[in-house]
Amino acid sequence: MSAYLVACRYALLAVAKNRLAAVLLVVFIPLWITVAKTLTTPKTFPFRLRATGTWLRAGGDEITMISGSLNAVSLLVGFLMFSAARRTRAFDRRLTAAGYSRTALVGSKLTTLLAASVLVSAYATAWMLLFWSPLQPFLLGLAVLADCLVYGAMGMCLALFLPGEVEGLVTIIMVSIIDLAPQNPVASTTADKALVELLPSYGSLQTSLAAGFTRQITLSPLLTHSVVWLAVMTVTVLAAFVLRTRTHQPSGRPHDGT
Amino acid sequence: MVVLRVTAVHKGFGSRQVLRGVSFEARAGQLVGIVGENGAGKTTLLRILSGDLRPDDGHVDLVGARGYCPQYPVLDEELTVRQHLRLFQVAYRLPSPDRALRLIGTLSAAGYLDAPVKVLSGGTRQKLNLVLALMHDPDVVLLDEPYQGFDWETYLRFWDLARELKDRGRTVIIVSHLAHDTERLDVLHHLRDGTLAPPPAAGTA
Repeated sequence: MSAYLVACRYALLAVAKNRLAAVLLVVFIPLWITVAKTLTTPKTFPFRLRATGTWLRAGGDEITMISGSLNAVSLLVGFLMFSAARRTRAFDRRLTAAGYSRTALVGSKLTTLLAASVLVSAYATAWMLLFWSPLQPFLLGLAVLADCLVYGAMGMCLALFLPGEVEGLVTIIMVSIIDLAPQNPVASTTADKALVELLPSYGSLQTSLAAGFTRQITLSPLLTHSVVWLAVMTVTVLAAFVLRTRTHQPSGRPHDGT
Repeated sequence: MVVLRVTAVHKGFGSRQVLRGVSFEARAGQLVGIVGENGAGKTTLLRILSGDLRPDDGHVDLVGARGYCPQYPVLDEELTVRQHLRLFQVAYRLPSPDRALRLIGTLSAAGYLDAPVKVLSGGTRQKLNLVLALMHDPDVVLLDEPYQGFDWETYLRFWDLARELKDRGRTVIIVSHLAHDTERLDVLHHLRDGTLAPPPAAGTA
Protein backbone atom coordinates (compact mmCIF):
# COMPACT_ATOMS: atom_id res chain seq x y z
CA MET A 1 0.00 0.00 0.00
CA SER A 2 1.41 3.39 -0.85
CA ALA A 3 2.37 6.01 1.72
CA TYR A 4 -0.64 8.06 0.65
CA LEU A 5 -3.12 5.23 1.13
CA VAL A 6 -1.74 4.27 4.55
CA ALA A 7 -1.80 7.91 5.75
CA CYS A 8 -5.28 8.43 4.32
CA ARG A 9 -6.71 5.31 5.90
CA TYR A 10 -5.39 6.19 9.35
CA ALA A 11 -6.34 9.86 9.08
CA LEU A 12 -9.92 8.94 8.18
CA LEU A 13 -10.08 6.30 10.93
CA ALA A 14 -8.86 8.81 13.51
CA VAL A 15 -11.32 11.49 12.35
CA ALA A 16 -14.17 8.98 12.49
CA LYS A 17 -13.37 8.41 16.17
CA ASN A 18 -14.05 12.06 17.07
CA ARG A 19 -17.05 11.58 19.33
CA LEU A 20 -17.96 15.22 19.81
CA ALA A 21 -18.01 15.72 16.05
CA ALA A 22 -20.18 12.59 15.66
CA VAL A 23 -22.68 13.94 18.21
CA LEU A 24 -22.72 17.32 16.46
CA LEU A 25 -23.36 15.56 13.16
CA VAL A 26 -26.14 13.27 14.36
CA VAL A 27 -27.90 15.64 16.76
CA PHE A 28 -26.90 19.25 16.18
CA ILE A 29 -27.40 19.50 12.41
CA PRO A 30 -30.95 18.01 12.34
CA LEU A 31 -31.85 19.96 15.47
CA TRP A 32 -30.72 23.29 14.05
CA ILE A 33 -32.48 22.67 10.73
CA THR A 34 -35.68 21.51 12.47
CA VAL A 35 -35.71 24.44 14.89
CA ALA A 36 -35.03 26.96 12.13
CA LYS A 37 -37.76 25.55 9.92
CA THR A 38 -40.45 25.02 12.56
CA LEU A 39 -39.93 27.91 14.97
CA THR A 40 -39.22 30.85 12.67
CA THR A 41 -41.90 32.70 10.76
CA PRO A 42 -42.96 31.41 7.35
CA LYS A 43 -43.88 35.01 6.45
CA THR A 44 -42.17 36.00 3.20
CA PHE A 45 -39.56 38.72 3.04
CA PRO A 46 -38.38 40.64 0.00
CA PHE A 47 -34.62 40.80 -0.37
CA ARG A 48 -32.11 41.56 -3.09
CA LEU A 49 -29.83 38.69 -4.02
CA ARG A 50 -26.57 40.53 -4.13
CA ALA A 51 -24.87 38.05 -6.46
CA THR A 52 -27.37 38.55 -9.27
CA GLY A 53 -28.95 41.87 -8.33
CA THR A 54 -32.44 40.37 -8.56
CA TRP A 55 -35.21 40.88 -6.01
CA LEU A 56 -36.65 37.72 -4.50
CA ARG A 57 -39.31 36.84 -1.95
CA ALA A 58 -38.79 33.90 0.36
CA GLY A 59 -40.15 32.53 3.64
CA GLY A 60 -38.29 33.61 6.77
CA ASP A 61 -38.22 29.97 7.92
CA GLU A 62 -36.54 28.82 4.73
CA ILE A 63 -33.95 31.61 4.77
CA THR A 64 -33.21 30.90 8.45
CA MET A 65 -32.94 27.18 7.72
CA ILE A 66 -30.34 27.82 5.00
CA SER A 67 -28.38 30.18 7.23
CA GLY A 68 -28.70 27.81 10.21
CA SER A 69 -27.52 24.78 8.31
CA LEU A 70 -24.49 26.68 6.98
CA ASN A 71 -23.79 27.70 10.56
CA ALA A 72 -24.06 24.09 11.77
CA VAL A 73 -21.89 22.53 9.06
CA SER A 74 -19.25 25.23 9.35
CA LEU A 75 -18.93 24.62 13.10
CA LEU A 76 -18.79 20.88 12.66
CA VAL A 77 -16.25 20.63 9.85
CA GLY A 78 -14.21 23.53 11.24
CA PHE A 79 -13.97 21.83 14.62
CA LEU A 80 -13.30 18.39 13.14
CA MET A 81 -10.41 19.57 11.01
CA PHE A 82 -9.05 21.82 13.78
CA SER A 83 -9.06 18.90 16.16
CA ALA A 84 -7.34 16.55 13.67
CA ALA A 85 -4.69 19.11 12.69
CA ARG A 86 -3.92 19.99 16.32
CA ARG A 87 -3.67 16.34 17.35
CA THR A 88 -1.15 15.45 14.65
CA ARG A 89 0.94 18.65 14.76
CA ALA A 90 3.98 17.17 16.54
CA PHE A 91 3.44 13.65 15.23
CA ASP A 92 3.57 14.78 11.58
CA ARG A 93 6.89 16.40 12.30
CA ARG A 94 8.28 13.18 13.73
CA LEU A 95 6.86 11.11 10.89
CA THR A 96 8.35 13.32 8.17
CA ALA A 97 11.69 13.50 10.01
CA ALA A 98 11.68 9.68 9.86
CA GLY A 99 11.28 9.88 6.09
CA TYR A 100 7.52 9.82 5.50
CA SER A 101 6.57 11.51 2.23
CA ARG A 102 5.30 15.00 2.95
CA THR A 103 3.30 14.94 -0.27
CA ALA A 104 1.55 11.76 0.91
CA LEU A 105 0.75 13.29 4.30
CA VAL A 106 -0.54 16.52 2.77
CA GLY A 107 -2.59 14.47 0.30
CA SER A 108 -4.13 12.49 3.15
CA LYS A 109 -5.10 15.70 4.96
CA LEU A 110 -6.73 17.21 1.90
CA THR A 111 -8.53 13.92 1.24
CA THR A 112 -9.82 13.93 4.83
CA LEU A 113 -11.04 17.51 4.40
CA LEU A 114 -12.83 16.60 1.18
CA ALA A 115 -14.33 13.37 2.56
CA ALA A 116 -15.59 15.02 5.75
CA SER A 117 -17.01 17.94 3.77
CA VAL A 118 -18.81 15.71 1.27
CA LEU A 119 -20.32 13.58 4.05
CA VAL A 120 -21.43 16.49 6.23
CA SER A 121 -22.78 18.59 3.37
CA ALA A 122 -24.71 15.67 1.87
CA TYR A 123 -26.20 14.90 5.30
CA ALA A 124 -27.19 18.49 6.02
CA THR A 125 -28.63 18.98 2.52
CA ALA A 126 -30.65 15.77 2.88
CA TRP A 127 -32.14 17.09 6.14
CA MET A 128 -33.09 20.36 4.48
CA LEU A 129 -34.75 18.47 1.63
CA LEU A 130 -36.95 16.69 4.16
CA PHE A 131 -38.57 20.02 5.03
CA TRP A 132 -38.39 21.92 1.81
CA SER A 133 -38.07 21.64 -1.96
CA PRO A 134 -35.51 24.11 -3.23
CA LEU A 135 -35.64 24.88 -6.94
CA GLN A 136 -32.08 23.60 -7.47
CA PRO A 137 -31.21 20.96 -4.80
CA PHE A 138 -27.88 20.00 -6.38
CA LEU A 139 -26.69 23.61 -6.39
CA LEU A 140 -27.79 23.90 -2.76
CA GLY A 141 -25.66 20.85 -1.89
CA LEU A 142 -22.69 22.35 -3.72
CA ALA A 143 -23.03 25.60 -1.77
CA VAL A 144 -23.12 23.71 1.54
CA LEU A 145 -20.09 21.66 0.43
CA ALA A 146 -18.18 24.87 -0.31
CA ASP A 147 -18.90 26.17 3.20
CA CYS A 148 -17.68 22.90 4.72
CA LEU A 149 -14.45 23.10 2.74
CA VAL A 150 -13.85 26.75 3.65
CA TYR A 151 -14.41 26.14 7.37
CA GLY A 152 -12.48 22.86 7.35
CA ALA A 153 -9.46 24.68 5.89
CA MET A 154 -10.03 27.47 8.42
CA GLY A 155 -9.96 24.90 11.24
CA MET A 156 -6.62 23.61 9.94
CA CYS A 157 -5.32 27.20 9.80
CA LEU A 158 -6.41 27.92 13.38
CA ALA A 159 -4.62 24.76 14.55
CA LEU A 160 -1.37 26.42 13.51
CA PHE A 161 -1.47 28.78 16.46
CA LEU A 162 -4.32 27.95 18.87
CA PRO A 163 -3.18 25.59 21.63
CA GLY A 164 -6.29 23.68 22.75
CA GLU A 165 -9.59 22.27 21.52
CA VAL A 166 -11.60 24.72 23.63
CA GLU A 167 -9.82 27.72 22.08
CA GLY A 168 -10.36 26.27 18.62
CA LEU A 169 -14.04 25.50 19.14
CA VAL A 170 -14.83 28.90 20.65
CA THR A 171 -12.96 30.72 17.88
CA ILE A 172 -14.78 28.76 15.17
CA ILE A 173 -18.16 29.43 16.82
CA MET A 174 -17.43 33.16 17.05
CA VAL A 175 -16.18 33.37 13.46
CA SER A 176 -19.22 31.51 12.17
CA ILE A 177 -21.61 33.81 14.06
CA ILE A 178 -19.82 36.97 12.91
CA ASP A 179 -19.73 35.54 9.40
CA LEU A 180 -23.37 34.53 9.00
CA ALA A 181 -25.37 36.95 11.16
CA PRO A 182 -24.74 40.11 9.11
CA GLN A 183 -25.51 38.27 5.87
CA ASN A 184 -28.91 36.88 6.79
CA PRO A 185 -31.48 38.88 4.81
CA VAL A 186 -34.12 38.28 7.50
CA ALA A 187 -32.09 39.11 10.57
CA SER A 188 -29.99 41.93 9.26
CA THR A 189 -30.51 45.09 7.30
CA THR A 190 -26.79 45.20 6.50
CA ALA A 191 -27.02 42.14 4.26
CA ASP A 192 -26.78 44.27 1.18
CA LYS A 193 -23.62 46.18 2.19
CA ALA A 194 -20.55 45.59 0.02
CA LEU A 195 -18.44 44.45 2.97
CA VAL A 196 -20.46 41.25 3.37
CA GLU A 197 -18.76 40.02 0.20
CA LEU A 198 -15.57 39.60 2.22
CA LEU A 199 -17.12 37.16 4.67
CA PRO A 200 -16.12 33.48 4.38
CA SER A 201 -19.66 32.16 3.89
CA TYR A 202 -20.73 34.86 1.41
CA GLY A 203 -20.31 32.58 -1.61
CA SER A 204 -22.18 29.72 0.00
CA LEU A 205 -25.08 31.79 1.33
CA GLN A 206 -25.61 33.63 -1.96
CA THR A 207 -25.48 30.39 -3.93
CA SER A 208 -27.81 28.65 -1.45
CA LEU A 209 -30.37 31.46 -1.73
CA ALA A 210 -30.11 31.37 -5.52
CA ALA A 211 -30.47 27.56 -5.45
CA GLY A 212 -33.49 27.79 -3.18
CA PHE A 213 -35.48 30.51 -4.87
CA THR A 214 -34.34 30.91 -8.49
CA ARG A 215 -33.90 28.68 -11.50
CA GLN A 216 -30.74 30.55 -12.45
CA ILE A 217 -27.51 28.56 -12.13
CA THR A 218 -25.47 31.02 -10.07
CA LEU A 219 -21.93 29.74 -9.60
CA SER A 220 -20.05 33.03 -9.57
CA PRO A 221 -20.23 33.65 -5.76
CA LEU A 222 -18.72 30.20 -5.15
CA LEU A 223 -16.03 30.66 -7.76
CA THR A 224 -15.08 34.21 -6.88
CA HIS A 225 -15.44 34.08 -3.08
CA SER A 226 -15.50 30.55 -1.59
CA VAL A 227 -12.72 29.30 -3.87
CA VAL A 228 -10.53 32.29 -2.96
CA TRP A 229 -11.08 31.73 0.78
CA LEU A 230 -10.37 28.02 0.36
CA ALA A 231 -7.26 28.63 -1.73
CA VAL A 232 -5.77 31.24 0.63
CA MET A 233 -6.27 29.09 3.71
CA THR A 234 -5.11 25.87 2.06
CA VAL A 235 -1.94 27.54 0.79
CA THR A 236 -1.31 28.95 4.31
CA VAL A 237 -1.73 25.49 5.83
CA LEU A 238 0.52 23.86 3.23
CA ALA A 239 3.23 26.52 3.62
CA ALA A 240 3.14 26.15 7.41
CA PHE A 241 3.31 22.35 7.06
CA VAL A 242 6.38 22.59 4.83
CA LEU A 243 8.08 25.05 7.22
CA ARG A 244 7.27 23.04 10.32
CA THR A 245 8.40 19.72 8.95
CA ARG A 246 11.80 20.98 7.85
CA THR A 247 14.69 19.06 9.34
CA HIS A 248 18.27 20.24 9.54
CA GLN A 249 20.34 17.41 8.19
CA PRO A 250 23.80 17.24 9.74
CA SER A 251 26.56 17.59 7.18
CA GLY A 252 27.47 13.95 7.66
CA ARG A 253 30.61 12.61 6.05
CA PRO A 254 32.50 9.58 7.30
CA HIS A 255 35.47 10.26 9.54
CA ASP A 256 38.36 8.01 10.04
CA GLY A 257 38.84 7.44 13.69
CA THR A 258 42.06 8.59 15.23
CA MET B 1 35.48 5.12 13.47
CA VAL B 2 34.01 8.43 14.57
CA VAL B 3 30.36 8.49 13.54
CA LEU B 4 29.29 11.65 15.34
CA ARG B 5 31.33 14.82 15.65
CA VAL B 6 29.85 17.86 17.35
CA THR B 7 31.92 21.02 16.96
CA ALA B 8 31.44 24.22 18.96
CA VAL B 9 27.64 24.10 18.87
CA HIS B 10 25.90 27.23 20.17
CA LYS B 11 22.18 27.66 20.68
CA GLY B 12 20.16 30.40 22.34
CA PHE B 13 16.48 31.16 22.74
CA GLY B 14 15.96 34.90 22.85
CA SER B 15 18.47 36.37 25.26
CA ARG B 16 19.05 33.02 26.98
CA GLN B 17 22.14 31.24 25.74
CA VAL B 18 21.57 27.51 26.34
CA LEU B 19 24.55 25.94 24.59
CA ARG B 20 27.85 27.84 24.55
CA GLY B 21 30.19 25.80 22.43
CA VAL B 22 29.50 22.11 22.92
CA SER B 23 32.01 19.77 21.31
CA PHE B 24 32.36 16.01 21.54
CA GLU B 25 32.83 12.90 19.43
CA ALA B 26 31.31 9.46 19.51
CA ARG B 27 32.57 6.31 17.87
CA ALA B 28 30.83 3.30 16.44
CA GLY B 29 29.99 0.83 19.19
CA GLN B 30 30.05 3.38 22.01
CA LEU B 31 27.47 4.00 24.71
CA VAL B 32 27.72 7.71 25.48
CA GLY B 33 25.93 9.40 28.36
CA ILE B 34 25.20 13.11 28.64
CA VAL B 35 24.05 14.18 32.07
CA GLY B 36 23.23 17.54 33.54
CA GLU B 37 20.80 19.29 35.79
CA ASN B 38 17.28 20.23 34.79
CA GLY B 39 17.43 23.03 32.23
CA ALA B 40 21.10 22.47 31.44
CA GLY B 41 20.34 22.17 27.72
CA LYS B 42 20.48 18.38 27.30
CA THR B 43 17.26 18.18 25.33
CA THR B 44 18.27 21.18 23.20
CA LEU B 45 21.55 19.44 22.38
CA LEU B 46 19.79 16.20 21.45
CA ARG B 47 17.24 18.05 19.30
CA ILE B 48 20.12 19.62 17.41
CA LEU B 49 21.75 16.20 16.93
CA SER B 50 18.43 14.82 15.67
CA GLY B 51 18.01 17.61 13.12
CA ASP B 52 14.95 18.96 14.90
CA LEU B 53 16.70 22.26 15.70
CA ARG B 54 19.38 24.17 13.83
CA PRO B 55 22.38 25.34 15.87
CA ASP B 56 23.08 29.10 15.87
CA ASP B 57 26.74 28.33 15.38
CA GLY B 58 28.98 25.30 15.09
CA HIS B 59 28.17 22.09 13.28
CA VAL B 60 27.24 18.46 13.59
CA ASP B 61 28.70 15.70 11.43
CA LEU B 62 26.93 12.40 11.61
CA VAL B 63 27.42 9.23 9.60
CA GLY B 64 24.55 6.93 8.73
CA ALA B 65 20.94 6.83 9.84
CA ARG B 66 19.69 8.45 13.05
CA GLY B 67 17.06 7.21 15.43
CA TYR B 68 15.64 9.82 17.77
CA CYS B 69 13.55 9.12 20.84
CA PRO B 70 12.17 12.45 22.12
CA GLN B 71 11.84 13.14 25.84
CA TYR B 72 8.04 13.10 25.77
CA PRO B 73 6.33 10.49 23.61
CA VAL B 74 5.37 12.03 20.27
CA LEU B 75 2.53 9.78 19.14
CA ASP B 76 -0.96 10.00 17.65
CA GLU B 77 -3.46 9.49 20.48
CA GLU B 78 -6.11 8.01 18.19
CA LEU B 79 -3.96 5.37 16.49
CA THR B 80 -3.06 1.95 17.84
CA VAL B 81 0.46 0.71 18.51
CA ARG B 82 0.28 -1.47 15.39
CA GLN B 83 -0.83 1.50 13.25
CA HIS B 84 2.15 3.50 14.52
CA LEU B 85 4.47 0.67 13.55
CA ARG B 86 2.89 0.54 10.08
CA LEU B 87 3.31 4.29 9.53
CA PHE B 88 6.95 4.22 10.59
CA GLN B 89 7.58 1.06 8.54
CA VAL B 90 6.48 3.14 5.53
CA ALA B 91 8.52 6.16 6.71
CA TYR B 92 11.70 4.14 7.11
CA ARG B 93 10.90 2.08 3.99
CA LEU B 94 11.27 -1.23 5.82
CA PRO B 95 10.20 -4.37 3.95
CA SER B 96 8.68 -5.91 7.09
CA PRO B 97 7.69 -4.90 10.62
CA ASP B 98 9.54 -7.89 12.12
CA ARG B 99 12.22 -5.93 13.98
CA ALA B 100 9.65 -3.50 15.39
CA LEU B 101 7.50 -6.39 16.61
CA ARG B 102 10.54 -8.06 18.18
CA LEU B 103 11.39 -4.82 20.01
CA ILE B 104 7.81 -4.48 21.21
CA GLY B 105 8.06 -8.06 22.50
CA THR B 106 11.40 -7.39 24.22
CA LEU B 107 9.86 -4.44 26.04
CA SER B 108 6.80 -6.52 27.05
CA ALA B 109 4.31 -4.42 25.11
CA ALA B 110 3.01 -7.06 22.68
CA GLY B 111 -0.29 -7.19 24.57
CA TYR B 112 -1.02 -3.59 23.59
CA LEU B 113 -0.51 -3.85 19.83
CA ASP B 114 -4.14 -3.15 19.02
CA ALA B 115 -4.81 -0.61 21.76
CA PRO B 116 -5.07 3.07 20.85
CA VAL B 117 -2.36 5.23 22.38
CA LYS B 118 -4.88 7.28 24.36
CA VAL B 119 -5.62 4.30 26.65
CA LEU B 120 -1.97 3.36 27.25
CA SER B 121 -0.07 4.08 30.45
CA GLY B 122 2.86 6.52 30.41
CA GLY B 123 5.35 3.64 30.53
CA THR B 124 3.77 1.82 27.57
CA ARG B 125 3.68 5.04 25.53
CA GLN B 126 7.36 5.44 26.28
CA LYS B 127 8.03 1.89 25.05
CA LEU B 128 6.36 2.71 21.73
CA ASN B 129 8.23 6.04 21.63
CA LEU B 130 11.48 4.10 21.98
CA VAL B 131 10.59 1.39 19.45
CA LEU B 132 9.80 4.03 16.81
CA ALA B 133 13.37 5.32 17.26
CA LEU B 134 14.95 1.87 17.00
CA MET B 135 12.87 -0.11 14.53
CA HIS B 136 14.98 0.83 11.47
CA ASP B 137 18.19 -0.23 13.28
CA PRO B 138 19.86 3.20 12.99
CA ASP B 139 23.63 3.72 13.15
CA VAL B 140 23.34 6.49 15.74
CA VAL B 141 20.61 6.28 18.37
CA LEU B 142 19.70 9.49 20.23
CA LEU B 143 17.71 8.82 23.37
CA ASP B 144 16.31 11.56 25.63
CA GLU B 145 15.52 10.17 29.09
CA PRO B 146 14.53 6.90 27.40
CA TYR B 147 13.51 4.87 30.43
CA GLN B 148 11.05 7.30 32.05
CA GLY B 149 8.09 5.40 33.45
CA PHE B 150 9.65 1.97 32.90
CA ASP B 151 9.22 -0.63 35.59
CA TRP B 152 12.38 -2.30 36.89
CA GLU B 153 12.09 -5.32 34.59
CA THR B 154 11.69 -3.13 31.49
CA TYR B 155 14.49 -0.87 32.68
CA LEU B 156 16.84 -3.85 32.76
CA ARG B 157 15.66 -4.98 29.33
CA PHE B 158 16.34 -1.49 28.04
CA TRP B 159 19.96 -1.79 29.11
CA ASP B 160 20.19 -5.27 27.53
CA LEU B 161 18.93 -3.67 24.34
CA ALA B 162 21.45 -0.83 24.58
CA ARG B 163 24.24 -3.37 25.12
CA GLU B 164 23.06 -5.40 22.12
CA LEU B 165 23.09 -2.25 19.93
CA LYS B 166 26.59 -1.42 21.10
CA ASP B 167 27.82 -4.95 20.40
CA ARG B 168 26.57 -4.62 16.85
CA GLY B 169 28.58 -1.43 16.36
CA ARG B 170 25.76 1.04 16.84
CA THR B 171 26.38 4.30 18.71
CA VAL B 172 23.95 5.10 21.48
CA ILE B 173 23.75 8.60 22.98
CA ILE B 174 21.68 8.73 26.15
CA VAL B 175 20.65 11.95 27.81
CA SER B 176 19.64 11.82 31.46
CA HIS B 177 19.33 14.09 34.45
CA LEU B 178 20.62 11.26 36.61
CA ALA B 179 24.12 9.87 36.60
CA HIS B 180 23.32 6.57 38.28
CA ASP B 181 23.90 4.34 35.25
CA THR B 182 27.45 5.47 34.68
CA GLU B 183 28.95 2.01 34.99
CA ARG B 184 26.95 0.92 31.96
CA LEU B 185 28.37 3.69 29.77
CA ASP B 186 31.61 3.92 27.84
CA VAL B 187 31.81 7.71 28.04
CA LEU B 188 30.02 10.16 30.28
CA HIS B 189 29.78 13.88 29.57
CA HIS B 190 28.53 16.50 32.01
CA LEU B 191 26.64 19.39 30.50
CA ARG B 192 27.08 22.43 32.71
CA ASP B 193 26.69 26.13 31.93
CA GLY B 194 26.14 25.35 28.27
CA THR B 195 29.38 23.46 27.75
CA LEU B 196 30.55 19.89 28.27
CA ALA B 197 32.99 19.31 31.05
CA PRO B 198 36.07 17.36 29.90
CA PRO B 199 34.94 13.72 29.79
CA PRO B 200 36.14 11.78 32.77
CA ALA B 201 36.43 8.04 32.49
CA ALA B 202 33.08 6.31 32.73
CA GLY B 203 32.08 5.32 36.22
CA THR B 204 34.03 8.06 37.90
CA ALA B 205 31.34 10.69 37.76
